[in-house]
Amino acid sequence: MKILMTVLSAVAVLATASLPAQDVGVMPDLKPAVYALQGATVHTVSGEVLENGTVLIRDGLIEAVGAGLEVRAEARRLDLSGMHVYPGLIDALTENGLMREGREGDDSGRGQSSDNGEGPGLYSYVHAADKLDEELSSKLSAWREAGVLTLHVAPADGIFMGQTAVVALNSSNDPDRMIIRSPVAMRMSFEGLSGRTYPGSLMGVIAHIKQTLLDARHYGQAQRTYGENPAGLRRPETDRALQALQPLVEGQMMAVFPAQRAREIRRVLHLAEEFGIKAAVAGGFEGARTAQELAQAGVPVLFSLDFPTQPRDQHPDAEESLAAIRYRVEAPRAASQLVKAGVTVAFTSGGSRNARDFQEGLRKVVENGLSKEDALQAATLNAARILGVDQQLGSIEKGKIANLVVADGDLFEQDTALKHVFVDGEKFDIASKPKRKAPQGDGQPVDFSGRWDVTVMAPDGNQQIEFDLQASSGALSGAVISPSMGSVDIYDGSYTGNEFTFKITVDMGMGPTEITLSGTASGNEIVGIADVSGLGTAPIEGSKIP
Amino acid sequence: MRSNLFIIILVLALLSLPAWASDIVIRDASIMTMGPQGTIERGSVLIRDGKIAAVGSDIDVPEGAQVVDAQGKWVTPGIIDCHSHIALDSINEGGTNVSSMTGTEDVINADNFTIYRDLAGGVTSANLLHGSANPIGGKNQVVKLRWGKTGEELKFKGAKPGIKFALGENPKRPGIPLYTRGRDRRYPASRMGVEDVIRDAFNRALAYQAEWDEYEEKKARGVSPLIPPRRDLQLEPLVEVLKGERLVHSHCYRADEILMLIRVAEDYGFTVGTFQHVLEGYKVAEEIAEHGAGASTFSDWWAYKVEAYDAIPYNAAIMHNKGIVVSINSDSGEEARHLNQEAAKAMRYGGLDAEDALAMVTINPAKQLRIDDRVGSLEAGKDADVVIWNNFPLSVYAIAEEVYIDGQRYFSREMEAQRLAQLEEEKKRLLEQDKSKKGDQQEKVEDVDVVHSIEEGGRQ
Repeated sequence: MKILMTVLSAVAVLATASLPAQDVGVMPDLKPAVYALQGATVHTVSGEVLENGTVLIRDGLIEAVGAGLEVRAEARRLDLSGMHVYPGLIDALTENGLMREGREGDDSGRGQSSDNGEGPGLYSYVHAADKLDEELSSKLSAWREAGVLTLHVAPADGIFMGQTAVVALNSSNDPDRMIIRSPVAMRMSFEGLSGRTYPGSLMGVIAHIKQTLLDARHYGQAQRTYGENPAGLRRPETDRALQALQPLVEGQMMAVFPAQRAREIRRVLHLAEEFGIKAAVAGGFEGARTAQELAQAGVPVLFSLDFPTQPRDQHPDAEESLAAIRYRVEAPRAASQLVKAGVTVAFTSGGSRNARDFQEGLRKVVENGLSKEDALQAATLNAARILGVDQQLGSIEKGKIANLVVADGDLFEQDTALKHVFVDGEKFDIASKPKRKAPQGDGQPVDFSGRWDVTVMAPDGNQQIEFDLQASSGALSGAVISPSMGSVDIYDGSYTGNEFTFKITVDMGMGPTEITLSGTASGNEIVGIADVSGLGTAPIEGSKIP
Repeated sequence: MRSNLFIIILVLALLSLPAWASDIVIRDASIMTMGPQGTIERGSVLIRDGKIAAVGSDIDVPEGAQVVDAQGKWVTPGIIDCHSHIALDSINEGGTNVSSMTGTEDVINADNFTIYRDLAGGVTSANLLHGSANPIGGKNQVVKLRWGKTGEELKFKGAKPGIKFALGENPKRPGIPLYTRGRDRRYPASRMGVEDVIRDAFNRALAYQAEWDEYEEKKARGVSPLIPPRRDLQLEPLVEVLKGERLVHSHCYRADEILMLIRVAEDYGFTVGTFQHVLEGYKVAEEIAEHGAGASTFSDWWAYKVEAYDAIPYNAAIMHNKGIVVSINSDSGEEARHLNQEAAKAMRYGGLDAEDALAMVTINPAKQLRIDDRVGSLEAGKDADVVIWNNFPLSVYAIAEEVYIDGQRYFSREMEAQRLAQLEEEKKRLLEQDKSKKGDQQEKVEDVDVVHSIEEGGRQ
């Protein structure tokens, strides 16, 4: 199994497979880290759109922006005429980038245990910054390629889930060099704990949140009183969870609450008002119905781009309720309604692990009435403002971090491709998706049955695996084998003529991940692609074992 | 310019509004007022500003009033359901045996379609209770079924706060083994244990109150520095019960457990608000009456578990005849749609007259919930929560035709076809616009029409 894992991790690393080899997996050449982006349409977000503008990058920062800037000799010049430059997009709330192992409490699932010596689901002292995946830069390269260069990473367990961090997707694979700000906010959940423990229901969770906020206030008050005048007072207990909540109850730290439905949003507004805390709503699908209330309360929305869809297993004849259809159709419209009402909106991947959802989601909110300018601002400067990093990120301005996206057209158009991204001033080239080499076939029908030696062209070296396939009237079955690990059964396998496709599911340490292997065969040779769901692709080639 | 014009038109429209904006007269109906005026053979109800301005047989129609001709029809106060779990996103907090820190007030789902269905059965107010998983459950919320409004707007402001208690089989959880998968079954596992949990909670509430009293006393004396006690949301509602500021609505079945709670309440110096279900209430009706509690029961529903075997359909009438304020409740989004018929069964079983029977779903639950100064009968000054029936309301043929809450019409059978056509139209339009069909993610769409199943024995 270990070897398969290695192979597949290699495939995953090949999220960067589409990058030219010299930019993959290694620290790029930082000397000189000076770039001049010339001739592009520069969408500064904070100011005007500059036609034929120049952006100078030095040592990770934006040195200057303007038209006709002087470019010094040491700069690498990029002629970007016809291209568009945007600030890097920000995913305003995600669990992507967290280590998958090491959940809080026991390991039975989402925040189940209350056995942490604090309160149930009370992980306020946990920092996402301490839980970042060492390899998140490689694992999340698909996000970078989608232009999402900064992530607001939040812990994933409990009710008071812990403190979030803003992270730049640079290539360092070293969390200490990726964190831009930590802590940022307290992530909250309304999900009850399971296993017959309190709180196990929504009403229990709400009561528990209220009690904990009261406890935190009381804790602060007791500590202050004692600190000012300890003589003659019984020493109050210390408590790391309540201590960690002090910035929240003092109104200095924002709490991020999940809320899609109007009533869920109102619950958040209610709680925030009752306890005088700064809140943000993550989700917002029924935001249109509460837009005025949100605007009035000054509560921002981290709007999810992971939109509701019809259940895949729904029978075609099934009659859907009006309420369900309404919810689905109104969700992508809510962004524009919220913006119109004056709510500060940013975008989040909303639980999706697929970077394409973010790109498609952006197009969808624009199709549904949000102006491109507003959509861009939400995805960049608004997010930076909400997360308190607008001095560093969110626009193309002198002195800000050089997180930039270079596209060959309008970012919101379907057929626009990203060409480069810069993260902390570091350049990543994005090659167009690898195209299959058509095999030099003789048109003879291919017999897929049998064993194939296959090479996966991973960035850190080729990996050898084996296909053991049985072909029968258009269907493929069998397994993918590595010499020492046994086999993983394939599914959804089929072939037409000389083309084949099948899938396997493996756990690469990020939960079950589906890999689609497809390609074409000619005689005893195959070439194709391994597509790791949401992460990237890697070329494969192989030959039949006689 | 265009918006200015719009405002001018709006202002003109408002200026020209006649009195009918607030005045409604329901005319020529048989009116069961459930108040001192009794039943009026042929009379009118005048509604003004959401309140009942007058009821009687000689009411002049004010100029410009909207007239509803109800000739041959019957008019009653809106029905009040004293035990409901509709329109809630969660019902039980079963993770603890004393869940008094929770409250249905926090989890109202005003989009739940059951609200509208119950409204169509003439229900205008409901007591949304926590389930019966725990000896001491969560706080209740009395609501008006203002369909289309937000959860906050549904709340019956000014209703006396209450809390759910539960005795017998549900809180002792007979279906769960004593020891399973490495953990003991939750305490309590017997009726003795239920009593113990309740007494223990009140003892803790007394100690909590004493702690605060001591703090307040020291503070008044100017003792400093002083750290106030921790606020405890679990015990605060129980302190309110002890002070008579919060009503106990206790789920119960058997005579012995009813007497137990009466003893507990009297030991701690409070009066139980209502006994809910109370199927063996007929056995201890004198004791309940003497204690001063109300009783809220089913008409003829029993034998769904052992503790519900010894029930009789005469229960409501017997308790009524012993002087208890008796209501008949639904505990079900479906049953609530015909509470008028449920009340009528007390005429068949026990021989009550029509007014005493109808009182069990109008003025009596209003009294039990301490909202009888606002609703429960048609009297000048009360909220205009009014139902127009096509027939004698205690007949099986009676259908609610129009339902008013605060003088606003929330249901009209006549308008229903039109409303349904509009919804059909909207659905068609939305489906055409729906480009996200057959997406790649599952379970994203909840159906808000789903009637919440009642968890862990809520219904029983």
